[in-house]
Amino acid sequence: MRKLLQYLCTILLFCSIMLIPGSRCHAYNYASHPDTDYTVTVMDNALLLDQTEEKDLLQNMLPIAEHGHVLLLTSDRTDTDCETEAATLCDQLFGDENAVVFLINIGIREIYVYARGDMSDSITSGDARSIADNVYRYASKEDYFTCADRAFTQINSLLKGDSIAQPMKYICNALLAMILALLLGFGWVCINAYRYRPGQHLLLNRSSKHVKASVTNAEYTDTHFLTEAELCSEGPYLALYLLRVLLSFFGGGGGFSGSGSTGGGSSRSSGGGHKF
Amino acid sequence: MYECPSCAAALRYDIDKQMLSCDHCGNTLDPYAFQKDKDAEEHTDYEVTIFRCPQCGGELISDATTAATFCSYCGASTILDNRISKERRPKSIIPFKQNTDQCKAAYQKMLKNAVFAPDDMKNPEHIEKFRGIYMPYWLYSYEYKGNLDLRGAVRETRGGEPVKNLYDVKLDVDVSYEDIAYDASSSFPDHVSAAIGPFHNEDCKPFTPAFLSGFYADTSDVADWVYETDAEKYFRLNCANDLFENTTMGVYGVGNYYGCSVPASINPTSRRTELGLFPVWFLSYRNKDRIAYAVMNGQTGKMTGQLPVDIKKYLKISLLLAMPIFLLLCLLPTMVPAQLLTMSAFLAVFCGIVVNVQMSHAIAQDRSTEDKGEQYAASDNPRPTDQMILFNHFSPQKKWNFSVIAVIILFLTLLPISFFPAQSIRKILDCPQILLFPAALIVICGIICLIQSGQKKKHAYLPVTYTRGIWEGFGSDLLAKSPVLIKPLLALIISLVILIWNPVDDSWYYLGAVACMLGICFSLIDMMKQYNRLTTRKLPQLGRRGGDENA
Repeated sequence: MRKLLQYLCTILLFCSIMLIPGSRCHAYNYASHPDTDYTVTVMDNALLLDQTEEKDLLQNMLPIAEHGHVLLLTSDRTDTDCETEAATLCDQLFGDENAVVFLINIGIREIYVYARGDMSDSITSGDARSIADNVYRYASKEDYFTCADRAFTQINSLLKGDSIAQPMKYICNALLAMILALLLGFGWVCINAYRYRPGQHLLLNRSSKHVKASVTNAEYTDTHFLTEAELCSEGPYLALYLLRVLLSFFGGGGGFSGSGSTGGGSSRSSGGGHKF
Repeated sequence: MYECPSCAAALRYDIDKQMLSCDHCGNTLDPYAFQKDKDAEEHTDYEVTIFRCPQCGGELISDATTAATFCSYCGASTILDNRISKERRPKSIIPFKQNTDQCKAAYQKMLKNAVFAPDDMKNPEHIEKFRGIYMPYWLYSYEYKGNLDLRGAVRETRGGEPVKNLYDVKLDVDVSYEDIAYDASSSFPDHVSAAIGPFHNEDCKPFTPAFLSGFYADTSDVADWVYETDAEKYFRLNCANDLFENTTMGVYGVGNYYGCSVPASINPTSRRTELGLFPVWFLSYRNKDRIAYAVMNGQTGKMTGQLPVDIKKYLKISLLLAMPIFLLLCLLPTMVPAQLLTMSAFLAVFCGIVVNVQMSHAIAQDRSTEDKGEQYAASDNPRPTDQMILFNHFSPQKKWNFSVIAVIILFLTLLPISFFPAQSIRKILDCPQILLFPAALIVICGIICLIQSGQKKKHAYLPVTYTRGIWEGFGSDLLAKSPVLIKPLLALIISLVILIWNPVDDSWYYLGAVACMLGICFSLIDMMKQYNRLTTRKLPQLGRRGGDENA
């Protein structure tokens, strides 16, 4: 009886430990392509998907493994950006091998598509941005399964050589083209109007002129040492002076990094994301 | 009317033959061989001079400045000698060398580049309506003979310290400029008369009224001193350049010494002003109650014309132009909506700057503030003193174009924001001090621009009553410009609000970009309407009933 009670307490203790928040042990779903040995992994760290959805996604992702490793990662980290997170995990899991990652980060509320190696030739940064732009609305509605599913479908299309819908690209280009065309047309009107504005030399009659002059005497009188104020009145010196002040104000650091730039490591890579 | 000695028909000055020619019998005569005391009969009633046609006796309709015209009844070319009396008699004339066919060809060539001009203007019937008019020009001649004492400064480094070596330079100068020309008619806009220049005085001939036969002619209604400062300034500046080119004074740093300006030192020893008549072809195009015109130099054939813009055509062509631009953009890396909105906002700012400059020109043209002849005709203020003129025009200080510097700083600040909008906005919100330095520089440049603008107005030729204070001029111009500038400004505000808000949904960014596009579009349309209003005006000479139409 005492031994039975000990066994029951051990089981209860084990189960209670399992119930403690933060100490949950989540098993990652995993598969590998039969021909290439590339792996397909779903790492649902943020617990956005259930088991059925993960299994469905694995099936959808498997054809992509013909080209490289495939990873679906959900995360709630706020201490890093998506590109760094995806690149770091790729380094840890796959080294320099071909890989594609779809990241859903609900901490900073961003989805990101990251491709490495040969896959980055088919999935460019522009394509990655387009895919993220096409599926972000599902993530906004918390339909993460559909979001990931549609993303991998489009990734698969690109890897097969098919094209994907890029409404963001065409809308942006159309609007910018229209604005530029309006300005260029107006510029043409201004140029034609100004074609008939004379320069100073055209204003007047080509008058007859007679010029005869020579230097009869030139005498050195004095040497004058220039002050700081006098130097600043000279254009180039003033420009250099202002530039020195500007550089000292901003310092040497700071910089902007845009989404879609090539990531870390020695492999070539591409990526693009979208907030949701 | 000048009558042919063989058949008594009317003589006209033939451009191709460069002689007086009879259309009836083909007789040609030297204009100088034909002397006539008076052409039109003159009667003075109630202190008004009435001119009558020598052929039919009909009363001639003319303006106060008309020197030659056509009779409205019989079409006879008539010279109004009273208007070219001794006091106002021109010294010289450049006869017409370009005939009507050459005029039409030049006009058609000009229209080829006017893609946005209304189709009506290209109608061949329209091109027939050219009028040859002799316009009066003041001819200024200057001379400088004698010694010139100047100071020079040569910059060098001595022991690591920048220094200037000073020199006293003496020159022996003998320079003369003949016939610097400015139009002497208040109804002929200065910018148009300048646009068809220059005329070549090699074809100048002593004046005789016979040259006017077959053309319109105007006399001067602008005093000779109106353009005297500009002519003298032209002489001094070009004389200074000639001295630099023809002597070694540049070696001694002449022109680098603060307080010694070469142009200011060249005080002409001799000045002369005379009147000349120069040939100009005018074409009018009437649209409802407005007239646009094209003008051609009757000697050299140089054509100018501010042709109106057909706004519908402009929009259609812009739409067509957008297609190749779209295809070009598709070859470039994909843009995200935030980048599109930032670039659109940037282009709206650029549009605002361009439209502001254009509106300034348009307002100046509308108010004729840059047309000295028109300003003179509208006022009766006294001539400014010589001292004021000399001091203001030849200040030795070089002025930087601070408005350009401000635009460059603005461009350099906005450029990184346009390419990386999200990161830039975040960085700016974290550390707003980043923008303080460029903002401070732009404000400083703006204040300097305002001060320089006020100084320019204060020291301009125009008499005191036409000078406005800095803020008065700025305020009144801002009111005139605001309907046009408000549109890109609103678009910019909408864009900034969206960029700072940073919404997730792309639709907001597209909406902002559309707002920018509409703001730019309507602003440019307003600008073109203003431009069209300015390009169409009534030209007094062409408002007359021309006898050559009815004869």
